[in-house]
Amino acid sequence: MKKANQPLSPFLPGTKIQYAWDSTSIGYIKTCPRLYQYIMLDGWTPKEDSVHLRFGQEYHKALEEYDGFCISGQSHDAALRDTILCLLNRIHDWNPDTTTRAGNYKNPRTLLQLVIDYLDKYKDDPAQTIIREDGSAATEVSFRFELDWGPEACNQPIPLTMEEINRGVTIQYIRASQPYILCGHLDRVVTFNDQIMVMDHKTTTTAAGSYYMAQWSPNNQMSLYTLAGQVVLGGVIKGVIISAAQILLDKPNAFERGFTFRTPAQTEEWIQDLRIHLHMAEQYATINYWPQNDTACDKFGGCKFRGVCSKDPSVREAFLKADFIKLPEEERWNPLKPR
Amino acid sequence: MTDELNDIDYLMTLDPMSLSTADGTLGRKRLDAIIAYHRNQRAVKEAGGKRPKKDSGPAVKIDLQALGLKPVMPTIKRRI
Repeated sequence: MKKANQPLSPFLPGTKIQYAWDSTSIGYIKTCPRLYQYIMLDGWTPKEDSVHLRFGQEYHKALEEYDGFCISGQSHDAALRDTILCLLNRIHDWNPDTTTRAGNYKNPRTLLQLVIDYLDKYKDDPAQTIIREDGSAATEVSFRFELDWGPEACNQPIPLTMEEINRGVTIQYIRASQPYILCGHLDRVVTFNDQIMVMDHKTTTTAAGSYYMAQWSPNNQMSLYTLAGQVVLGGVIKGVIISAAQILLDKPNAFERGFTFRTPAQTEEWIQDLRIHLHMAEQYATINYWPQNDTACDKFGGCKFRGVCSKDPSVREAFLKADFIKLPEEERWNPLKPR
Repeated sequence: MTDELNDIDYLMTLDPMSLSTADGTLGRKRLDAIIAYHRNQRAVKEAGGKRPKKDSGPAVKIDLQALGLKPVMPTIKRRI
């Protein structure tokens, strides 16, 4: 029996065909089908706590809470104080290994410094958070919408199992029609220079200059967020503001904002390409095989599964078990899980 | 005496329940001390100063006693 608060599965019942997608899972399947298999289907996750993930989550949460405090009428100082109180509440037992490079840059102390620096810098932010009809700040805006097509499996009869054939079952059922769903969360929706934009917060240890900003176009996540903003907010979003925070240890933290826009034709092209990627994802699920893309292993500082994929296929399972944890289904990445 | 890094670490690991923000409370003063520390760190770096090392002297003294707290631990000086 399904627990009351358990989110729906993003997969068609009884299959590995995913119908609900967010930018993370689309990113996996585009980057490497085997990476997608390891994370989305098999639930492998590195044994060590992901410092980057925790740091990013806490940073986002703190900025979201600050917006809420300000919109409820608090002054900057009072909102900052309450933001820090909530943050300390969540992280007082977080103790990452600061002898690693990741832990040296991303730990409670650097997190507090970054949040305080950001909120002081943007105390009089020219980008104003939109207020929703219920009076709340448009931060962590969840979106979920259907595409006008779905997995092909929905139009075909469900194959009979051997057990059903042996029992003499001859009637085949067709799955209920299920369109693809795109979902996710927008960090913040703002007005800036009389335009409505999505704002996405990023943390980085590298300089957020033109080279850094160039990575957002073309970019899967930002194309989806532009599309989502248009669907959810009625077609007025032209792009995303990247609000980048560079974590520095011996210099003050640095903050840069960049813009990435999508024309209607670019958005249309992204959807058209997505159709092909989702078709391929369904094909992999149908044949129960997700091939390696061995040109992606060195991207983004090196894939975390590189040490597994570099081994003989006969021993990969052993290496996965040694270095990774297999999450139970309810803890795996699920685009339909509410925040 | 404790060094400044120990003091701020100590403040940051306090039970958050002791950091009430109501006006005039000790908790609010402690939060203000944490924020002031980080603002000062930013100012030091902006002025070209380096991040204080563990064994360096304090750039800004945090008065733990004024915040209703005892020093974390006395510095142990040992002659070899």
